Amino acid sequence: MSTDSEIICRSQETPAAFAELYDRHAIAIHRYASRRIGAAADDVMSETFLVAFERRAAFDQSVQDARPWLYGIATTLLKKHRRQEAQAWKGLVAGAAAEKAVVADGPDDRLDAELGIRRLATAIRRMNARDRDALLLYAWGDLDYEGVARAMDVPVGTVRSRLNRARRQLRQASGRGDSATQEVEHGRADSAPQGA
Amino acid sequence: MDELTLLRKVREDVAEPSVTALNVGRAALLDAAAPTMAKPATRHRVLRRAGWTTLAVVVAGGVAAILVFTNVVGLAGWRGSADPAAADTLAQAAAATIATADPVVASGQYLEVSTLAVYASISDTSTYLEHQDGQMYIPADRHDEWVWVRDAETVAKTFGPASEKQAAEDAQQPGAPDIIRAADGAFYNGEPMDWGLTALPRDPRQLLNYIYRTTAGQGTSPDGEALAFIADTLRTGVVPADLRAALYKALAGIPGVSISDRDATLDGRTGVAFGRNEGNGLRQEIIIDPSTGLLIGEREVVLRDGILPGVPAGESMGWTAVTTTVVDAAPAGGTLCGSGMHPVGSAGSGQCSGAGK
Repeated sequence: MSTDSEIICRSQETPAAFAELYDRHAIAIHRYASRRIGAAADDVMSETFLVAFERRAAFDQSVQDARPWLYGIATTLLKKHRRQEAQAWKGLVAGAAAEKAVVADGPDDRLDAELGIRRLATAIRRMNARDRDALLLYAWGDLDYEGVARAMDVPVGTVRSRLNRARRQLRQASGRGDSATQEVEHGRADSAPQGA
Repeated sequence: MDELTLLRKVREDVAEPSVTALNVGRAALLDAAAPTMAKPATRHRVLRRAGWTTLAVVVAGGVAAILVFTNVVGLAGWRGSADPAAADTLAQAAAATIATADPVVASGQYLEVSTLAVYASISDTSTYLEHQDGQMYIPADRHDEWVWVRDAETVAKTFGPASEKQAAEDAQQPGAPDIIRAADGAFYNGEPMDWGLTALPRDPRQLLNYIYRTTAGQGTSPDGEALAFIADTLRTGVVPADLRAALYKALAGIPGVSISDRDATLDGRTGVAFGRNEGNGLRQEIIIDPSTGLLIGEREVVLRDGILPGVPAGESMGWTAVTTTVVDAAPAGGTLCGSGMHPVGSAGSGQCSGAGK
């Protein structure tokens, strides 16, 4: 099977070959956009590939995987939908949406999630846009640090500091301090009476 | 549950895009990929090798087959060919085009390839058509400077109020054409322009096998993709007579190709349209003047209402008309990367940066 960079390379000569990249990654890009802004994800998916196609000559051929590049373009396009995104996070804070927002593994887990998610949504809403982008590329785009760096066109060190800051804010917002172990304990204890 | 685990679960079950949304996105991409005229193309060594890989997985006639293909043995021929009337007319066009002398570009002159191109701009609820015209001036000595004049985009056609509204929202300030200038046709700091025409066999059957092989796995069907390859190649406007004739004969070898319009008019010129209906509800057509064998252009026709939002069956979702002439001079001005952009990285890297258009 061709690598992404081979497809992009081929599309220089045979532009329609770029459709192969679409078939490969459109659903993943849609999924990422949909989680961030909901219904307008269709547009972002389509636009991402149009922009990518236009800029394919600038793609770094030494990188085989085009996903960071595509997620980066999608992330830039999402800026136009800032209002929808803010609404979506607000919805999670305010309403019953929080209950449906997570796929939980069990009843305890679900309650833990419901409690946590409102705080998490609040923190993400208030977060600096670049930190939020880095966080969501990492968590939802399923990219590693290097992938996020490529997507955002910044050095890996910058990604590391953005992600550290973002995660620290999430932890603080959940009132759980910096210890991941402790926070789980608290979460479980809180939810136990209601779960019983 | 730590905060990242929790975040990863948020909206984990979002719906996948609808089939319509996926199709619309794909159609928009293919539409943009239908080249006006050759875009800055680069031929990569790795790919040239890959192009000769002899193992291809092809789905033909609904049967998945793994076959070893060469130019001599391939998909061409044994699965039928174009409709007889289409094949006859294409044979005439091939004979005529061989007899029609290609324009000779003397030293100091340029071959001007003028392209009128219309593309669909598609949103969720509406579609409108947009012009992206241009003229490329190719010097007699290909190592000299080429000039590419790209006109500002303008609205070509709208389909009702929603379409008009979208077109008005997207409209850019009407601007001067962008002029790009590069030795060897290495526009946008790319590699020298090479359409790869010399690599194409002149024997129609070998050519068609070559096309099936290099387009394997792309597009909605192998035959549709082969037709699109031929349309893309002809649309460059620089195909010599012998190859043009071979491409017409190769087109006659594609099953499902028929004459779809005997009076197809593009940019004021009338010819015969050869097309093939695809499962995605579109028909790619190639329009040829059979008396001279010259290409008039190509278009993609919508076969059913609703394939593109607001576009009724029978409309074109895009078309290109190409004319090639010899001229004594090319326009002055312009830069390697076009207005507002400058090259970055080494020559041939294909990288430009700046605000740009």
